[in-house]
Amino acid sequence: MLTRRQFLQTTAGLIALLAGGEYGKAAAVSFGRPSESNTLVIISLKGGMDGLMAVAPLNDRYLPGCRPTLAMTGSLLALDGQFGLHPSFAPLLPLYQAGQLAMIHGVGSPDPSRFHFDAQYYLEAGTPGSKHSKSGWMNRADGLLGGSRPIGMVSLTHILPLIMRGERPAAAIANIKDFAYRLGPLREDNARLVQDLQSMYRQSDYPALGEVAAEIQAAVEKLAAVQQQSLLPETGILYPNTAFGRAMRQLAMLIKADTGVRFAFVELEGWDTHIRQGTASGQFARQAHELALGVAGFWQDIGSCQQAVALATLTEFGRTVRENGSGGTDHGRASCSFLLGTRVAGGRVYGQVPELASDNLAEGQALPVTTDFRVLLTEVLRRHMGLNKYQTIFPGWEPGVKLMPLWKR
Amino acid sequence: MKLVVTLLLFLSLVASGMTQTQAQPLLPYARYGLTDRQAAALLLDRFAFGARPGEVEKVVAKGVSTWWEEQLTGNLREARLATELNSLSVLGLTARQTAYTYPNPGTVWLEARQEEYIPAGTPEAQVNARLERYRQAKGYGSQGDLLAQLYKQKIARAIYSENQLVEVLTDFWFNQFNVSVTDSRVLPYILSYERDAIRPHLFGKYSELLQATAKHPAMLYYLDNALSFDDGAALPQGSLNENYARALLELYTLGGTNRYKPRDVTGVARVFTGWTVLPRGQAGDRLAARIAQGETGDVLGSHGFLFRSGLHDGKKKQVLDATILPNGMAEGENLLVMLARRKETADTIARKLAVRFIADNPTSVTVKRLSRIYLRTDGDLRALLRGVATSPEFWQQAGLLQKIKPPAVYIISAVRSLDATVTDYRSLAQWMARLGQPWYACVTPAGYSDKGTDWLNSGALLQRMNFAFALARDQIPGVSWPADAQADTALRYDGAGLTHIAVRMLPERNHDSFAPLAASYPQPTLTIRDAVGLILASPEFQRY
Repeated sequence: MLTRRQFLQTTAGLIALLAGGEYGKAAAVSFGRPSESNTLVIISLKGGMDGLMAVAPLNDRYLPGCRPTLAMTGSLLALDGQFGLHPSFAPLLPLYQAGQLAMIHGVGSPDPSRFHFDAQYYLEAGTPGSKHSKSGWMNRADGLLGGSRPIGMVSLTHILPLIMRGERPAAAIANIKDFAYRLGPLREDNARLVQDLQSMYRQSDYPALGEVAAEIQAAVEKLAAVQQQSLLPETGILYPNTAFGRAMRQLAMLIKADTGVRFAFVELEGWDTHIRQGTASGQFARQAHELALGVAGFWQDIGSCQQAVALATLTEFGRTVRENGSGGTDHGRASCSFLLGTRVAGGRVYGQVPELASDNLAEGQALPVTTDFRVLLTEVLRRHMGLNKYQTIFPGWEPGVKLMPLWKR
Repeated sequence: MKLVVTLLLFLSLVASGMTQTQAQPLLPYARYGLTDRQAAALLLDRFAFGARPGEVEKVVAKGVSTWWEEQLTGNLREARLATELNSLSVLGLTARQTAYTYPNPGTVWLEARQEEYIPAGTPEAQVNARLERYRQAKGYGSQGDLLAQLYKQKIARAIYSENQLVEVLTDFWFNQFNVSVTDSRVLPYILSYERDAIRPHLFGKYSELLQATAKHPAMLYYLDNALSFDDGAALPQGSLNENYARALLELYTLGGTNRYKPRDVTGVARVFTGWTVLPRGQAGDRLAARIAQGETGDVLGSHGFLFRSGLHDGKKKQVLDATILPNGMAEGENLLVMLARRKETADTIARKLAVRFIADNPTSVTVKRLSRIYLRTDGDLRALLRGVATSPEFWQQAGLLQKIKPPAVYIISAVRSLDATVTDYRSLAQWMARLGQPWYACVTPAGYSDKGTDWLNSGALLQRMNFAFALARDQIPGVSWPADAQADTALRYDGAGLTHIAVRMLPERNHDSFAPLAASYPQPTLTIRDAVGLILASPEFQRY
């Protein structure tokens, strides 16, 4: 007998099918509270992404003067009448036009630090201005969901990032293939040695060692299921041949194999464009292309799982409005976030970018923060993960502003 | 009367002479029920990178306290290590020489553009080819090669040095004043930073470390103080940067954000304006010559430090309860002395030492005692180390093995426990990265955590297990150990036999944790490599 949740999921799928829409098209209908098998993917754009170049105002009269060599007007892709998309993000344009992708400008931290380490810390801890947190907001959010999932939280990195540290177990899986025991030359040897080790850890008088060893075993078993299924990307899907591309491809595998991933974290470095930022080609363009290709490929790859997945990009800060003497930009404040989901009210650019006169800028230099990143995340966590207790996820904070309506009604 | 005075004077001189030649106190481990062997094992675990086969016996034969005092002098002859370091060309280079020869890619590009080697408008596709030709023409080395040598010397020292305490302390203080190779401006200066700013002061005073690191280009670049200038003067070079100031107060001295205010950070930043780096190459040489002639008000220091008076904020500053009058470079030097003397600094350093060497959560009694030693000796680091080794908590928690080895300690101790030979260091460096602790590459100023439990997560522990067996099976390129020295590889072991091997690799431990294997291996079927793998991967080997 189907549970109510299963029934709703099946019905939703049936209706979408009958309506002639494929899974993932904007026509998908919502049936109330979010499924417990939803996944939130956060992509951290490390270095400070230049939101002004990513999603540029089309008609700002100060922009050419601020960015004599970096302003791009001709080659931008039209979004709405006000903003244009950097051409290297082209693979994301169809998602925007399908109403699944939204950009939110003016997103940043109330803390003015332009120190990579601090800003990244605040972003992951969810406590801008305070360095006392030993846990990340994702871990706290996962704690609210509860339950026991061997790989409920996965970071596609070598080191477990702060965003996932805390009470709840989380797995750093840089490479699914490497997240396996490689103890013995032959499978039987390997299996035997695994048992020996696990038995020692189980009986160890150091509890934390035993607990973590048990987490390994549970995660490895979950991932073994992934390895066995053929989860190669559908033909025609092109991921970038980079660490980021591989991370997105593997994340897609984890989702398609229904391994129970609820929170995923992926990093893409290279956005700290102090020198030679470039315009339609160059450092920024390369990063943008990699991001767009990776995200678009991932989205297509997960196919029918799209309904359960929401993806957001975050960056530790934006960049200065005025270019510097080395063809680049320096650390700023607000940047823009990308938000992707079947239920997202996409096809729009949210948030604000003021006219780029000095007086309108933060410290006369950078785009002002008009949306605290926690406001954005609170809305996403509420809508997509059914979490309302922002006080636990972002302690010591009150939203203050009305949460922006980013989800379809 | 005169005779009495002379006699008293004579006696007091004799007394002071006696104090100086008095032997240092013996380590008090017997008081806590430890044998010589147990004490040796613990010291080798905590103040060295783990014991090599037979090393506990050697320490006991020498005398545990004698060994400890030897380590505190750090002067033992290095034969094996010298051989390893022979081939490394960068080790003899000065800071400026390394910076000149191994510039970061951005610098090369700017230079090539300035010299019009890459004219404006050169198509992107051709730029890289031209850059490469430019590098070769100038004789610049690749930063990748520099990095490889840096890692080789670091790992070789950790494995082969006889002065193990020196290596452990270098790692510890480097971590305290962390800088990272991930910043390509910093990378060329790291070798000198470790060699010239950290190592010479391991057994000196804490304030010396503060001064040396504050003036070193690696730190000046890493925390951007090299680009921090008087913001009241609207200088084209740039404005005030508070990153170093904040790290100085929060990480290196006072600690904890409620011990100072934001305006203190700004005040400190102003004090250090103008503390920068002598430019690379000829521009720097020319400036240095002019300074030497006394043509500027600037000051040159060692290793490329430059104080530019014209960029220094000359106003009065307020930091904590002190008013700092204009005094050029001396303002910063005096501020460092002042900060080093504060009780909060004593507490911070005491706690750091206690966490690293005693327990993840040391008692306040332990920390207070070390803090008092700091204040009494004006931050004498040797006295503090003696304080740690005479701390009751250090010996009381000896058998409990409550600390988890951070990845670097785990890897090095595993290599040492087998007396492995390393001919290529790159794979060990890669394993450190896989386990989460690539040396020299911690991106945050706070450095790597000294708390073992911070390193425990499923991915990392799984990688340790895989490392253990890769090492045991000689599957780490460039690393091999003499299986035959442990036993004939044709021999097989049962669970009891494995425990014998564990006793050699983990001296003076409680080997109950290997008891479950007795049941799994009643018959001798384990190969030596399986046995070693199980020991290296065991929960016991993670602890120290």
